[in-house]
Amino acid sequence: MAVLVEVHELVKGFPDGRGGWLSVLHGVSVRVDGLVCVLGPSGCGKSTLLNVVAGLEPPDGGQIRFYRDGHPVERHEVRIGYVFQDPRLLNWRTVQENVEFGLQSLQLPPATRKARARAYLQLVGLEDFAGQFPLFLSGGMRQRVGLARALALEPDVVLMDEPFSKLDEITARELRQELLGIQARLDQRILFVTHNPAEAALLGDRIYVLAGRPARVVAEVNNPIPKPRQGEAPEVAALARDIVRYLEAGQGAVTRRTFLVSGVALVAGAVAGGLGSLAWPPAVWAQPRVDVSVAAVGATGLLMRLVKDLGLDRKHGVELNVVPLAVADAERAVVQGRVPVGIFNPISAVRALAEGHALKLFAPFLLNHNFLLVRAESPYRRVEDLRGKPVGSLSKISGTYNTLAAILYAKGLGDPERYFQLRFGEAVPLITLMERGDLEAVALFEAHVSRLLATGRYRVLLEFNEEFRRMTASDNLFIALAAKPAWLEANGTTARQIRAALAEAVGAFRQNPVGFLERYGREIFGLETAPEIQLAARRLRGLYTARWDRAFLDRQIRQLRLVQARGDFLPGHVSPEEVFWP
Amino acid sequence: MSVVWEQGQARDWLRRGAEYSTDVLRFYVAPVLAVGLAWYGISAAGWVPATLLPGPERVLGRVVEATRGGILATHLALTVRRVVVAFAAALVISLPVGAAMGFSRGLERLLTPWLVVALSIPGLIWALITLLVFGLSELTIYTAIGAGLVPMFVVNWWQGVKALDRDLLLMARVYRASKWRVARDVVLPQLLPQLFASARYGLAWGWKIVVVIEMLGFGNGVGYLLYESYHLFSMERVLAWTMAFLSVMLVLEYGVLAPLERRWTRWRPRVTFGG
Repeated sequence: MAVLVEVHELVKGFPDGRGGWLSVLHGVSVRVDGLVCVLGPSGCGKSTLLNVVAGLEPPDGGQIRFYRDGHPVERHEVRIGYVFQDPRLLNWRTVQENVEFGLQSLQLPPATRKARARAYLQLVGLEDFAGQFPLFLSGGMRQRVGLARALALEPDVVLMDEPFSKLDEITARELRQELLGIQARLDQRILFVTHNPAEAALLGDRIYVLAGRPARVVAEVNNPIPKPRQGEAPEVAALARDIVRYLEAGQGAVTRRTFLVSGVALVAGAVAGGLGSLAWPPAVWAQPRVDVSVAAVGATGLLMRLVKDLGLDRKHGVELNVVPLAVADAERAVVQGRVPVGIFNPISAVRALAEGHALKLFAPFLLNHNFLLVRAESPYRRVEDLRGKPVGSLSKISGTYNTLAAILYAKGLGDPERYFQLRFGEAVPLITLMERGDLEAVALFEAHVSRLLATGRYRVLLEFNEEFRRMTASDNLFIALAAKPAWLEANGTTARQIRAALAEAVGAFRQNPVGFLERYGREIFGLETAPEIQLAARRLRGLYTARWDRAFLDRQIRQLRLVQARGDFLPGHVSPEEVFWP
Repeated sequence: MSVVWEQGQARDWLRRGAEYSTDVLRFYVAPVLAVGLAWYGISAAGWVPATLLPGPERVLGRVVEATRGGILATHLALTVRRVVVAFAAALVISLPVGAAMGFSRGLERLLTPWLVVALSIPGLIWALITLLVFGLSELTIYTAIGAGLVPMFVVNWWQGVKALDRDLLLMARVYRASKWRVARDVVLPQLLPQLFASARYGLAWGWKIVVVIEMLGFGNGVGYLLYESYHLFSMERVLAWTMAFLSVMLVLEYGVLAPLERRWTRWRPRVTFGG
């Protein structure tokens, strides 16, 4: 059963990384018929020799020959164990599992495999640590696990790559003696490479001394010292000295290989958000300067543009700084005190009041311009036809949703969320859904309605304002400017000036809606074509009315009361009067 | 060689159990109580308007109320599902890409600039793009979160594969281990730390972005609840949903991730305990 390994005239080199060739081993011949040591300085190619023998790397020249009982065999017919310089254990597997890992290729029954692993752990004195994880063991113990893994394979040859070089000398000494003992017992073939002459002198039955660059065998020494040998014996020390002499005689220049490991660091982009900076408190000017939050898209935005471009604010003795925001954000900015003045919906104001945020509406100026749209060819004629159908609406705080809810409650149909399959969303996603046919109807406000109607693919199913007028015999207040009561108390004059400026802007718009829409429609409503502009102008001309008087206010309060009485979505304990500042 | 593991193990376990409970008390329970009390004190003192800082009892009351009504469970379940599905999909999709980059120098060079680009795209932009493409469908959320997560995960897998211990792979070859054994026993355990880093980072990111996406017009999910509360100017509700949301995340972290990680890294000697 004895296997002989013969390394014959081995030549091996590597690309040097600069386009050249680095020759490492040149004509190296080694015969492994017992415990054979290969000695050489660090970096001389000893590990390469082992890797070629193990079949991890192909030779560039020469041969590795294997013989069993004198007959040549292939490498795959030979069992090779390998003990590395570092233990190379699977740290996440127990000691036992590590030894078993080396046995996988034998395809033993699990019980046999376990027993065999245990037996070899016993051989290296680690049977008590079988269930332990490697990192809980000392370096010497870990190296023994590596040894057990190699031996458990019951290999024909064991390759050992400076296995004790990283251990402290006391542990190394102990392990060397154990290795000698085991080798004697098992008559194990071992190819042991080392850079330590004393180690070679102690362990090796034959010692090959490698030197030069590329490395070649400069000396082959048959160990004359009889076994068992002791590390402290003077003969061993003498042999070590001889080996050093051979080494020095054959030594060439030593070059080092340096490995550069480059890591690539990547910085993930952070999610940027935020509304931009709002200037508050505003600088004090000769004229009072007031930040006003408005919806960037829609009729308020348009009115504010008119105020600024026609200079109506200065004309009335105030300077407005327009802060365009998303619809609901414009309202929130007022509640949070980021701006003193902003657009608000009365229903939102009542809700805010119920939540403990006092706000007063001081400049109501727009009428409802919300619609429920359906596809032009859809069979639905009345809102009742949409029962249980998928319907989209702007978010719960919007005037669009709240007015829709008020209408449904007034009609005795109840909560829109239950009446329809309601999908809440922002306008654009809702329109996308409508276009895809996922919704049967969508509730939207003017900013998008004219554009959609102009395509000819949609028609109005419910015009909220008309519906409201029918139900309550009154116009439905939709948008106003709001401020906190304290601000209004301190800035009453300014508030009246703003109101006057807005009223004049509404008047100006009514004079020439098409002209203004041609100028601003694209930016504010997304209106692109002449038919779209005509459509929007026709509707907006009728919608913009500013009649700010006691009778108007009373009608609005009556409306809010009506809504409060019909449904539970506006808290009944809040008085509508509280939200108006006459 | 004088390490003793067998002797006095029962006593050791008892001692460790006692230490553990003391630590839990000291580092988890006590600070939470302290913060809660401080919160209660400040809100009860009335220095801050109740609309801005409602007391913990009111916020907890909201949570209890919403839990009883089933609202919370419905919305939370939706949000958790969105994050988990997108997360799992991204993890699976990114593995082959990252691994390929780790193993092939050419692919690494080819894909690195694209990876940098993908990493630089804010998650919100993915949300806007997918909203326009898929509308208000679940696919929108999955794709938006997934698109953000995939490049992060690719980096993780890529770096994980590059950091694989080649010596261990050589060892496995020497011992003629099958491909399956190599994958299971050698490669995967080395990628686990990367996996956990990915999971932590990815889930944290997913939580943050899903809320924002849900705010963009989805009629459900925790993001929607938060958005609605925001619109209603209700700090009480905002805090209540946040609290409910946080508790789910904490359960996932301490109930799932940390124990799994402890289990899978018990081979590593540790000094501290807990996630």
